[in-house]
Amino acid sequence: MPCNSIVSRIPGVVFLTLAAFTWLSARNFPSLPEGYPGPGLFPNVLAFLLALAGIGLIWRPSVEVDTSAQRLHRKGITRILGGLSGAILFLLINPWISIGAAAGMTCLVCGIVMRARIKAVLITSTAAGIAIHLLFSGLLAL
Amino acid sequence: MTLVSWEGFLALIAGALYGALFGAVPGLTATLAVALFIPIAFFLDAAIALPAIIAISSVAIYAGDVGSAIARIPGTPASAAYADELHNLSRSRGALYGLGISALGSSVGGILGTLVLAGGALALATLAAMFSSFEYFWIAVLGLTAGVFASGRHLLKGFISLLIGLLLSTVGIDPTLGYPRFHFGNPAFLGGLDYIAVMIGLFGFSEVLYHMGAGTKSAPAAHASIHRRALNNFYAAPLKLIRKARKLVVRSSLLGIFVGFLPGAGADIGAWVACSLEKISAKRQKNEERVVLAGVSSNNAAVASAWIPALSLGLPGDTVTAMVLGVFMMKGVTPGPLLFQEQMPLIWMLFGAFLIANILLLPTVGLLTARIARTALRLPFSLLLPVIAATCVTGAYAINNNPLDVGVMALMGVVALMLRRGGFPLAQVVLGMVLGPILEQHFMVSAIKSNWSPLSFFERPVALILMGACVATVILGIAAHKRRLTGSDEGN
Repeated sequence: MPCNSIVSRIPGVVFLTLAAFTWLSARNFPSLPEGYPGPGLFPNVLAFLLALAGIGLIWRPSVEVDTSAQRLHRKGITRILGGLSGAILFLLINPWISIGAAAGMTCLVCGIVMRARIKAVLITSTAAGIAIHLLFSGLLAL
Repeated sequence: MTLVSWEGFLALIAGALYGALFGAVPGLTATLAVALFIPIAFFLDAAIALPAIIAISSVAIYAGDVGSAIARIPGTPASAAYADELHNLSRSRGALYGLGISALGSSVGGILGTLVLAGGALALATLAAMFSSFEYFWIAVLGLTAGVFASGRHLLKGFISLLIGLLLSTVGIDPTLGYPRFHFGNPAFLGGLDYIAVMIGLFGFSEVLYHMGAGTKSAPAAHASIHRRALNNFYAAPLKLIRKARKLVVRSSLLGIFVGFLPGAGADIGAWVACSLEKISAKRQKNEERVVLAGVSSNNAAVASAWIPALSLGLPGDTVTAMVLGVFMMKGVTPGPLLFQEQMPLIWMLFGAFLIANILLLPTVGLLTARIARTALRLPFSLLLPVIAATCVTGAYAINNNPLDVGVMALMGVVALMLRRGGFPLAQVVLGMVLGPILEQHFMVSAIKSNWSPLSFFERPVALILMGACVATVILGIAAHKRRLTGSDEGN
């Protein structure tokens, strides 16, 4: 599926930047005695290959992307952020409540984001929370 | 002669159910299942503890595919090689059919692995002992090469995914000097990124975010009409496929056995090479069933063959057999060549346990897990996705009881979402992460011990054979890639 030539070159630029970051970070790694390469060798080789691949993508950008990629709109981005907030919520509340309750809350948030029927979401979240609590807190004593 | 006592048989059944539970839940692994069982094994007789461990590991490896079928979350790095195909198959033709192929393919692979374990353990262990860092380096290169050519139409994108995985593997202490790399001042990163958390994020959480972004309409339709004929879908149809593709099953199982007995990541490389060979040699564009069959038979054949160096040399083939060696020590049994002369009843009991686990337990427990997966797939997508999200965060947290793993999992979910939208394959990232440390460690060890002589990598006969296999994979892969491109151009 054809796509904008500038947009399709963005991944190449991202990978070039990642390669540059890796190379810059690996410059300070120590060498082996007698000047042989040490822990920096592998990251440097990877950075070089990634830079080459990035240039390849910029030079000949692939026109094949996920067909549904074109359909991502503001609503979709909001829902993705909602899904991420479910994971963040788990991190925030897990220290204070049981793992099952925290997972149930994640399920509830994601269900609301997905606009499922609220009654069904509540039942599913409670069931998932209880199952996770029984398995992880009860059986495995996490 | 009794192969397995009735107590051992009960232990096999209990172990299979326990292994199925651990394999099917993301974040819980066969290794964790065996690790939690070890304190119990301490109080049990070897004739009960060892069959239970065999059943746990055999069934947990298969049950790892349940996550792939429902939510595209592979249970092991090896199953990442065919996770996409299994998920698509379970969606299009039903979970019973997809997991039927997985269970029965695993069963056949496991039986072949057991037969080789029974017949040639000592000979194969001697071969494994001939492998030095040079051969391990080349076998890691072979796995990576196969991974690139398994990536479909865009080799460059597959290569980039692999490089990202290799880069992720450099986080933490380096294997040569013990120097900390890319830890960003956080001591929690010194041990490296946990690949299970990365896998859950890459496959499971990214699936949640992907469908959230596209809305519920993007939900792939689960197969409905096939539900009525459970036994046919789980047993008859996959068996027919296995009979039709018997050469593929035998070839993949042998590959799993012969690469799987190498200590380290043998099993993962075996499954990847088997899937890659099938993708390269495929005449048709759609060969999902055959790719899954190749992967699962290789995967489970390697479960048995990982016991070869453990039993005959006392060297662990993987983490599970490392714990098995601990059980041997607890019970006063010394593994090694003498084990085959002095403890033959124990050896026969192990073979019997492997055969029962593969012939009887995998197909029966497999049907049970497949029915549960089928029920899960029947849930409306707007409810299934939140449950998958909850399972992902819990699974990532449960690995080390560490909130950082949940953060890594979420970050990987976002990275995977972007990669997926750009058409980059995800499984290659996992392959790079798993093989990266092996590749780097064996390259550095080989280079240092040969005083950085490049020729030393080509001097040993087995290393040369493996290098030849890498070259052959590249040539065959390029030819297949050209054929694929020509075919799709003609199709267009």
